[in-house]
Amino acid sequence: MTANTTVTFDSFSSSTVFRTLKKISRNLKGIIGGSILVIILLLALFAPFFSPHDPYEQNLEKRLIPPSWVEGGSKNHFLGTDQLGRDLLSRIIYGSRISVIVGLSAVFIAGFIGVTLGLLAGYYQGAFGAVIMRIVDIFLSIPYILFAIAVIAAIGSGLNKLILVLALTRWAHYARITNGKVLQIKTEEYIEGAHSRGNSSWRVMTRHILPNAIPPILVLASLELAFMIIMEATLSFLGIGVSPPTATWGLMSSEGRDYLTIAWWITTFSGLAIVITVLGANLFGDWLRDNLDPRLKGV
Amino acid sequence: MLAFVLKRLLYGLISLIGITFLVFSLLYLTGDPVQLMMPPDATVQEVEDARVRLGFDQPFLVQYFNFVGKLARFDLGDSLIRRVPVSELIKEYFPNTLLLATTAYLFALLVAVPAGVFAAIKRNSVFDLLISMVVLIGQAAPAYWVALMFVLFFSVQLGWFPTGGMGTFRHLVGPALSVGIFSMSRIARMARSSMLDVLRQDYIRTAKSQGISDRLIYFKFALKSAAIPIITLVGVEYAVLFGGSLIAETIFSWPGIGRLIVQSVYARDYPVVQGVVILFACTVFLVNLIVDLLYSYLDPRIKYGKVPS
Repeated sequence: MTANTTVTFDSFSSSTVFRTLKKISRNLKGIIGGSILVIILLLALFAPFFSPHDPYEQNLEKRLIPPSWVEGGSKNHFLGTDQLGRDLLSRIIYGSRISVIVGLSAVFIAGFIGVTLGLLAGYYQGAFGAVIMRIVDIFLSIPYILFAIAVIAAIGSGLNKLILVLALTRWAHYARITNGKVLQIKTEEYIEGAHSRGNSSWRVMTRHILPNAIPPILVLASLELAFMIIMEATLSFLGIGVSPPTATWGLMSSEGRDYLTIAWWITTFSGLAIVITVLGANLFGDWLRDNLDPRLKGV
Repeated sequence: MLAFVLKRLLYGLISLIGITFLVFSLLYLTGDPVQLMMPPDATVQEVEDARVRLGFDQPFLVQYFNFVGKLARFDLGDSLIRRVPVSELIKEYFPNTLLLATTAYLFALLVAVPAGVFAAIKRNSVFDLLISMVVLIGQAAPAYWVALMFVLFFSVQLGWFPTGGMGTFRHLVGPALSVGIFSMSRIARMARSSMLDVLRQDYIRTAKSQGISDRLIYFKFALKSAAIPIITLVGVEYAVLFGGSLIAETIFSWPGIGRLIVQSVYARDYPVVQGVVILFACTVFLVNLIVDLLYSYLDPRIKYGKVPS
């Protein structure tokens, strides 16, 4: 009887269905996070296709219409309209474009600067490395919002400048993590071997060290994507990010703030869009970390 | 120990010099503020005289060294708009920010550490799941949105808390909550994972097998080891909290240093911006130093001044 049960259980546990279920539950974070990110990316790419209305079309007769399920709502405007009568859902869909563009480019630029400097500092060490890492420490000790605001005050705002500012604020994180990883990899025997085979420093750095340092950098980048999206929204909210009438989630929350008591939906939904997107990026990043670099767990 | 503290102080000093240089160069780039300070009908000659009087005609490095020289005497210069010394402004506004940041911090710690530890002890329970959900959302919501949602529900709909200003304890709840929620989520998460990590260790199992009570194991043995990564994060979070206070102060009209700096940026009042950024950097540096010293208390294996083998 006992043996029989065990056999049944074994055959069940080894069945494809069970294994697939197990795989799914183990990778649930990655699946949910990844799906959210893919959906946001598609919305951004095909915004004109998904938007029911023109996000910039104003109609003062239709201003501040509540969401369709609330009394006084219109079926035509699912999430309602804003203070200028623009369709909120369409603006939120278009707003994803700014978040995606700013998030991805800022992460890429910050990563490029940080990884390059961290790699060079770790490889050459000495006075050069020490100076670079001191600069990294300085950047890490300045509160980032404060720094971003100070830079914007200096160079002005606008989409391109905003991306640059965000990258400048965060590159040091990549430099620190790359540097630590490079210092560790450098002591491995295969690096010594690569040198003794007559490989140039450049080749050792790019072909032997960098590929092995990629996992923690990738994990950081995915979590930084979430951070950059929040930063863009926050700076736009403060009025020093992307300027109106561009549809961005931060700016919409800021505009909705003046109407909070009579039109709660503007701020609520534009903020929810950020929460969902950032949640997706965070979940995806966590999943990457668990799979690529378990030692970083909880950092 | 002393050598370690001295070394850290030296490093901190180098960083601070770097920060003053960075901040000074950045704000130098914003251009000369003299035009903004003068009445609109001032003549070219009057503007020029003011520029010479305030030292804005000097070369960059001369201006920088003047600035550092004054800084060494705790002279942060005068606000261009408010016409009072920046140190006076800081004296007036900084305590308010300190009150807000510290309340937010205590709130984050008092909720997050027990929640995280308890979630780890009761792993996979409903409570654990609930904490994980709150943590996920708390990390994804921008501070300004949390603040506005607080105003919407608790101030506008329910009327429990004021929408802004400072005075009673009830004024403090909204700003502190919106400043602290992000840090709270991160600390809770760290407390949970770090506690789980410790509970897996052999010595905990040994202690259990010896019949030592669960309470003693959790709160004396495990928590002390689990505290190290939590404390590290707590140091980092203090800097994050200061950043968050900027948003909360702006939304809740809290008369603190965060609101002061936002207003000063709009007004291009750069001595104030400089002073505040440097003040923030010093505070963050001090907190991190204290955190480093706490380590050696919590983990006797960490000895400063000796190279770990």
